[in-house]
Amino acid sequence: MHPDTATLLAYRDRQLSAVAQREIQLHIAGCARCSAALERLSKEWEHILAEDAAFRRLCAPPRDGLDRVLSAIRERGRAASSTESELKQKIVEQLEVYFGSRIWAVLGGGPASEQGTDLLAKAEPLLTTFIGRRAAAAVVAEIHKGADPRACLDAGVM
Amino acid sequence: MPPLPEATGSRAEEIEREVVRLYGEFAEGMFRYAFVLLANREAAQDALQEAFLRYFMARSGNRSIERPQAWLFRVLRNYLLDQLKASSQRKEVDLAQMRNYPDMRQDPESEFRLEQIVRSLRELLSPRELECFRLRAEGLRYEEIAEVLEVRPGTVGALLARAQKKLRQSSVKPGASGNEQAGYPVPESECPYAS
Ligand SMILES: [Zn+2]
Repeated sequence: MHPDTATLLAYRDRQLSAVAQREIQLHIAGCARCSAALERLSKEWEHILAEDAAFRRLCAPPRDGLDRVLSAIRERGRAASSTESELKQKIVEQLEVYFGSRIWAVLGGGPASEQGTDLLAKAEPLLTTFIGRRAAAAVVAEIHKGADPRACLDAGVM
Repeated sequence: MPPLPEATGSRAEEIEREVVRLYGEFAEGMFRYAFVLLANREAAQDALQEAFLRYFMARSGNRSIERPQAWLFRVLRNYLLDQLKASSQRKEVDLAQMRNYPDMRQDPESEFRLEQIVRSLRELLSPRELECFRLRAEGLRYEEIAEVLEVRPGTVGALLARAQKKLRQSSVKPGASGNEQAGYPVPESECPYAS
């Protein structure tokens, strides 16, 4: 049976599996009809790509395209780092409210080397020991929301 | 309280270099793909920017991306589909709008020609065929196209065969000789791609 056009195209583009590629190759070698069809399809595609060159010439991104991308990346980076440092600052302040500034020695180092969320993950078990699992989770959630965790007191969590 | 450090940013710089390299490799093809779908230079550039921004964010989150070209095209496509959906609700995107967003780099004649090419393509091919053809013309492999379009690789083959057939048929002048009816050689003036 002769392969269909889609298969011949995939063969031409070397997109078939190694086995299928070999099968079609053998078929074409012994079939004048498929061999001619493959040649016609290949020439058609070359012609289409040659004509596509006009479109490619006319349709290009703006010259400052990369600059715009990099500006957007840096802007986003600044925003993210400012949010992260705000979060970190908040965590540091709140942990000191609960445990005093000696907490950093207990945790093995200062808050300086920690990302905000890592710091919180490290402190949560400690909070659990002191104020219980439910209250610790509530405090962590409040810090994540950017609220003052002392509000948990008012809410009757602790 | 201990002082907070400045972020070193070396990881961000490394990913930024990655973005610059990928932009050099794929941005033109991505822009053309976005342009045939949106028919609007500014919107195509915004989409391109968003795709690279999302790449940066994904990599910043330590995500490993094995096939960046397919990943970028897929993210770009999802963004474009969202834009098209939003625009169709607002009835804003139309080929006629192209001239409302001129690029100072392009002369009006070139813009008109570009508009004609895109219009011909969009009239000739179904949206799926158009996307598939564009992705193949930009050098994506079948399996990558399948990943971008979320279809099976076999479907890619069928879409490409249909697209090629239509492009060939549109290139043939009515009443042309047998050789021309076979799609080759094609009189340039009759081809929607003719420059
Ligand atoms: Zn055959």
